[in-house]
Amino acid sequence: MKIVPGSTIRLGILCVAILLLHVVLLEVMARTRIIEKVMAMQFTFPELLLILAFLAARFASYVLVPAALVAFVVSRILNVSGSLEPK
Amino acid sequence: VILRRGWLGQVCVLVAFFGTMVFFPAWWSGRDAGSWYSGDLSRQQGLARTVAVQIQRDLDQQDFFTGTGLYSGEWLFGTYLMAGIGFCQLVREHPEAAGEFTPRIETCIQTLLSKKVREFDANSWHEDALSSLPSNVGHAAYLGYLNLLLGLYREIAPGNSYVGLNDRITEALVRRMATAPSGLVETYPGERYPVDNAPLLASIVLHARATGRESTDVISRLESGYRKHSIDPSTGLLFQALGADGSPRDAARGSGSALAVFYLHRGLPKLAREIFEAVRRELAVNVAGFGAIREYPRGQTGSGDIDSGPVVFGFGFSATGFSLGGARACNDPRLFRRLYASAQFAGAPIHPDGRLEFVTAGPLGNAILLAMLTAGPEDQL
Repeated sequence: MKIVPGSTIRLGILCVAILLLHVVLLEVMARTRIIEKVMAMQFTFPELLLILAFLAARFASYVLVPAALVAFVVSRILNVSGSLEPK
Repeated sequence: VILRRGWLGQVCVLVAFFGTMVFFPAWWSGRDAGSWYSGDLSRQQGLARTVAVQIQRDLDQQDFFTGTGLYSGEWLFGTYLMAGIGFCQLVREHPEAAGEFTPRIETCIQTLLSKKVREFDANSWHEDALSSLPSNVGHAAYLGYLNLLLGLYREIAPGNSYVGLNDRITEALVRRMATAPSGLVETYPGERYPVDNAPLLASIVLHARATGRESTDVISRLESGYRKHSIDPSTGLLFQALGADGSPRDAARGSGSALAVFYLHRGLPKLAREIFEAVRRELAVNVAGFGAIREYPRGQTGSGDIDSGPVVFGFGFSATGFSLGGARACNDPRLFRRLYASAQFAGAPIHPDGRLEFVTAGPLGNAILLAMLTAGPEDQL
């Protein structure tokens, strides 16, 4: 008997991974103060990539994670199959 | 049954997914904007304590990553200036906090007067700004910004030990501005920036107010000269740079205009509001609840520089941050909320030891945000 559906686990792992990545990159940004280099137009290509990764992780944790969780809860309430759960 | 099995249930899930994507981020990012806008003391104190910790670290030019000594010197100067202005505004709005932050204001002024901070200006002019007071030569940035802080401090502490210095700098700046052919005092030799003359002009007005001479013809002449040369008649924004004859040397831009609104709002609120209206009309953009300010007016494009920061999809980082101050000073809660949501998203505030720190901002960014978030609406004070 499956107590927790596989899609729930995958969604949970994905959300936690995004949030962890966000926190790690936040710490990196705080320690390296790359934003200051960006404001001074003095950043290198790897620093630009790091900034983009940070913004992507922040975007995902602010946009995709809540949206996925809300959609998941709605699908559970309505008991909709096929949207988030494999058939 | 229809919801469970049919396409309507799927639609509900999709609506929930995309609806949350569109509305949640800006709502979540802007959830503290109301308390900032209303002047919540605990929030202001939280950020002010972070700035106080950062300026106590005895910063120098090596703490900044601008790539040149001049810009690092400017950022060092800007950090203590914005911190001092922020503390003054906080104390003005919440006099009960004077005991905690007045010593911080003194620290800022003392550091601004130190040789290591004056260096960026002295190296450009080959003379020290404070030694040059009897002459008619420039130093708009150092003297103008410093004098604004001295004027703001004088408002909340009329008997402070820098009143005499405020008198002497003001006298020199009035003379320099009145005799400048372009109506603007030079920041560096041959360089005239309207935004650097905004705090200079505001400091003259604050001084006149403090000494009971606010309604003089001198101020009216200086203000009309500033308006005539600095404001682009087609957009209402500030030109970024002027030539010796007062003709524009750069476009009318968001970063300079937004920062000028902040500097002018205490001394010249009518002029500040006019420029703010132009910023809102020509530059403000709403992206799914997040506010952004364009660096160049609609229909124009250009690159970023040390003043604007990066310009991405036309939006200026500096212009967006500086406009927070204008939105609060000019009583626009809707724009303030949207801009705060953007600042919160990019700045990533955390709460170490009960303080409030914008993680990505660094010492200068936190000091600027303190100044902008405590910019005082006149009718609430």
